[in-house]
Amino acid sequence: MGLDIRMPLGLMLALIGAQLAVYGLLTGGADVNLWWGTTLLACGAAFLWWSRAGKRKR
Amino acid sequence: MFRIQLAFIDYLILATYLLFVLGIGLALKRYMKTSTDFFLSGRSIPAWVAGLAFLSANLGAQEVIGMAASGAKYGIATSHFYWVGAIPAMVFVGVFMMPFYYGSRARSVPEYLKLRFDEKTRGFNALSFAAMTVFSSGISLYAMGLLMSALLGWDFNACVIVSALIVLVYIYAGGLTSAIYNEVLQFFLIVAGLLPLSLISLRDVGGWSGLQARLLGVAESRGLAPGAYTESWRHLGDAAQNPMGVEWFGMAMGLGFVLSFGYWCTDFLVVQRAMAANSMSAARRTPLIAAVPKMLFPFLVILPGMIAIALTESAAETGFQLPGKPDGSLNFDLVIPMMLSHYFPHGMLGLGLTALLASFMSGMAGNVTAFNTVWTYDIYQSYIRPNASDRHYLQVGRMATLFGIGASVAAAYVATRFNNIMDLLQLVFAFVNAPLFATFLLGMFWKRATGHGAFAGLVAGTLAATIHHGLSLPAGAIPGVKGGWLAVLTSYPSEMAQNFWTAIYAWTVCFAVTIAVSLLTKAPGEQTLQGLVYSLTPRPREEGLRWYQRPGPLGAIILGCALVLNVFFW
Repeated sequence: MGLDIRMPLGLMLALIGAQLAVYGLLTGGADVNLWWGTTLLACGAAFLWWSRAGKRKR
Repeated sequence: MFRIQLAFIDYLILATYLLFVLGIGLALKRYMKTSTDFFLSGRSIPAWVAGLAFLSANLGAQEVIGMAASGAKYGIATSHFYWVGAIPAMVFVGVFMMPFYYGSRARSVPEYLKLRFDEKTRGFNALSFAAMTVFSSGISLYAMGLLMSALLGWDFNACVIVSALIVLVYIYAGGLTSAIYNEVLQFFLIVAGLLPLSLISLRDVGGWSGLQARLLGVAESRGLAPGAYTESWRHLGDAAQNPMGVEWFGMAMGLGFVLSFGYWCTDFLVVQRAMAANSMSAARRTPLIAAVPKMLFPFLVILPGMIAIALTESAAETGFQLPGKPDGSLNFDLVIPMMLSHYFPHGMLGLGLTALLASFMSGMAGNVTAFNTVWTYDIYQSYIRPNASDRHYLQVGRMATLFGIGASVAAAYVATRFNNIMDLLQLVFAFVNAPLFATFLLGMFWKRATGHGAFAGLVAGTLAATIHHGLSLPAGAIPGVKGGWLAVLTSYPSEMAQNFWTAIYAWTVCFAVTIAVSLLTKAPGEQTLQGLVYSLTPRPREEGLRWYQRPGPLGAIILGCALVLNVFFW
């Protein structure tokens, strides 16, 4: 309905992922913040890409 | 008392989540033009979105906190609530029942009862359901406020009011669509917060085999069979040998059949998400899509509970200790927060707590959207003011949202003062719900079932549940709210066993009475039952759908996977 949920979902995951990853980098390198933050960032990017791909098809 | 200190980054993550939740609600406001938009999302939701919302609405805080607590109390046997007590019912509602729910164009579960049976059956179901949703969202509000104020030192009142306000804003503005979209967000957040906890903690205890070795000692020290915490079925032959205190028949029939089918197949809270799907085939796939993550959730919630109890057993070596309660028992409800603060640095800690908050909000929003729909369509439109304009009902729906959330907050405060009243109410709702599935089963698959039969069956089943509860008592309890308030005729090894058997009696009595009374009353006309009963409804068309879009093959694959999981953890 109107709004494509993949867009805000992807944005939110990417934003939280980026926050975690940057914080992980600043506080000392390869800890859970960094690797999980990067994973979330990638998931968020995937949803954003899927959302754009869906729009182009229509 | 154990406290968690949050850092700036934790608040930042929480704030990001809240921003998106509110933003989605406000962005959807302009699409809410008719009551169908507000209560049914205009029947426009794609299958995967409806599926994740279907799961998320069920995934309240009590589910996450409670299942982790059960994991610590009962071990892997808690998985029965998933692989026996959820998956088969979810497949059944998708494959066999959704054609009638979606195909009849009923706007709610009580409305289906009205179409299939009669007004009094709908009224009975609508009233008890509306009251139940308000109280259960009140109770979860109370539990959340208590947990957050204890853990973080936040003010209880502020926790309750602020979280109620957030849910209010996004549902008031965007109706069911907003609830569903946010449930998808919440689903991903819950996974994002809990999955790394399972991975890290499992690695810490030396993998599954390391956990098994540690739990061996826990089982021995409690006088149970050695594998009682890591083997789900092997010890169900004898109630005394497993930590749940349940034998296999009560488990399979009570939980696996009556309670689970009663919840997943008739509770409007979840069924509403499927009714909002954009086509019949999407509606039927909704519970099936939800079943896939549901099947994997034990690894997110039960596993941390099992690990927490294993770590606590050798606290001197591991440095992890579940806090105790004043009466000396362990406070199992703190499993998830304790594990989060034990394993996560700041940052991830904020994400973990946000996941808990998200689970709470998704559960509450599920209750509120189900409440405002049943109130507006099944109570207001049916009994108070029929034939008003659609615009009027949309306005009433918004008011009902306001009222439902206000009543939940009130219920939360009642719970802080009179905990016993809440226990009592939950008990009453359990009695009303226990027989429901018999009514739907007969209604959908036996065309001879009549309205008088259904109503008599429901009342008799509720009475049977009440009487059974009044005559039985779990071991070690005193007669009263736990049972035995008429006389103690039988005693069960645990409260869970008593619950399962209450459900079995209620279902059986409702089934028998519905059949008997139906046969004594006038059969309903066949032309009025088209689309409502199996034998009078054309099969949904499946041409043009690929195999993985068809409910039958999908359901079979899911059941196969659940079977494999059961066998693997036998």
